[in-house]
Amino acid sequence: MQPNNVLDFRRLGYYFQYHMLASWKPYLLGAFSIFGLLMLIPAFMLLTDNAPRHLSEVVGVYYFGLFFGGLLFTSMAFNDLSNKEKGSQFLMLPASHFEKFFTIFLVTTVGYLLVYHIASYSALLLLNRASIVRHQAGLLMDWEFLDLQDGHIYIYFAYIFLHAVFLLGAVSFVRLAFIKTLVAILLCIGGFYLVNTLFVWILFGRNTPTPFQNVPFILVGTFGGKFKTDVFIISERMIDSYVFIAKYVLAPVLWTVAYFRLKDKEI
Amino acid sequence: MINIQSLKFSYRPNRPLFEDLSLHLEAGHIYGLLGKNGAGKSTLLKQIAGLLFPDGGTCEVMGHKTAKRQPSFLREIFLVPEEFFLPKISIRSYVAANAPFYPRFDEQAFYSYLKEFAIPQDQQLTNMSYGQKKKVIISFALATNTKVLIMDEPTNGLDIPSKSQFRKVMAAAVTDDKCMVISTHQVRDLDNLIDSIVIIDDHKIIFHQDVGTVTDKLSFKLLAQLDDRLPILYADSSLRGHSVILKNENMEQSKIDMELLFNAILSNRQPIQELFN
Repeated sequence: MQPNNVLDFRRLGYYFQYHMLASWKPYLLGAFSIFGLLMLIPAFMLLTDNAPRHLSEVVGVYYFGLFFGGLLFTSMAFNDLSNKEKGSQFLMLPASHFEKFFTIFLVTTVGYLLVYHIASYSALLLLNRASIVRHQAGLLMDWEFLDLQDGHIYIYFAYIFLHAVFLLGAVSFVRLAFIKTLVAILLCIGGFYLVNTLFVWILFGRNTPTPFQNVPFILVGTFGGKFKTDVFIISERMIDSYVFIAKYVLAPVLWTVAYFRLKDKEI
Repeated sequence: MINIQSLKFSYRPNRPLFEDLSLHLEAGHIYGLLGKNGAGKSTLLKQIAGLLFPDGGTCEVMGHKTAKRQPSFLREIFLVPEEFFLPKISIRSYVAANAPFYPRFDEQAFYSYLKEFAIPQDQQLTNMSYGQKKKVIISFALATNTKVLIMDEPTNGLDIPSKSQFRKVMAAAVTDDKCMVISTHQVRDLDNLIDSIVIIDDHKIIFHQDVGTVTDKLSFKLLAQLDDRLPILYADSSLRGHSVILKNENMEQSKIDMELLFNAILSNRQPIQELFN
């Protein structure tokens, strides 16, 4: 019988087992490292006079761990491809590119977020306990930073977008994927800004005040006009389109590109 | 089974490794892929395995375009690379993780190959020597029962008794529906094993004949003295005498000397090739 060459759930299960068997030790070590690092900074604060009283005071550590840890982990997802022997083994194993990609995608998204939140919540409970012991009062649990209103949800959209960027970087760059992806992001931002500046010059001449008085492709401030300055902003509909693209289109597009980059990999 | 047509490939622009290389390999044979260092033996095996993509031409195995690396193709091919990776797990865990991907994997055969190679079955893979690891991967490769088995320098790192064990298990494993390709530069290791010789040089296949045809057309002898009257195509002198390749005009049966043939074809290609055309 001809097998399904794209997705076979039994084969996906085998591949997931295979991946976990080969990687559970580094993953476990990584989970303990996350937990340790999340404990380290608040514990240091607790031992000094700067003990946190509110949950919101340690939330920065949570976000830092989420982004730095998650993106570093994602950028290492295809490290095997940088090694000829491991890369051959990875590509020759009889599972489809989609099954291999999807397994790594799941591990770096659902897997990481699950482990990270278990580790950070455990660290928080321990920190709270330590705070009760030392200051006879626990942390004030102000969970507002997780409130989906107030724009906090955009932090998670940003994380998803950056995950897609770093996953693409992990497939594309053979070595030092994290650093190379960071450099590529900076170059893209620079290029984006240059293109925007070119458009602004074409449309408004050189009447723009400083480079930082415009939001690329959204808003431009110029000299002149009744009040010496005019502000031009794109229509609300276009802003909504930008937001829609940023929230729902960019990350899936980048994941798809990463998948096709994996298909094109040679050793 | 393996069909390569007008293959073009280069690692760098303007420095082609293969130009218009064509090769057709059938089931039921053990092919010896021979060539000088840098001739492209490993690269050709990678093309067959789908690890490298052709710049031009086609490379197909059992009708599958190898570059697509589809599971239906990958489960019918196993590559034993010269340098390979084995994870830090036991042999049993390795089998448990890898065997389900190969529908005809024969666990009993795997452990019998290990026994043949004298490999302890309860050992961690990382605690093994390079030679032992190589024997494990060769045993696994044979036990997968894939239709195509390709091996890149499989005897590197094997001790002398293991080389003979290797020949024994390989000869026992070949069946009418399997195609085995072994690349090596240690041609003596493949004596009595391969039944077809493929020599790669100068960006293409320069020789592709089965051993029977070679011994029908050529005669391999060790002479005490060279005689100008004999139809000598190639001679190599040593302390033992002169190893020569002659035109087999009297249809004598002789044992093929793979190393001598390889050297003869590389240094005196034309008259030998003319004999086979």
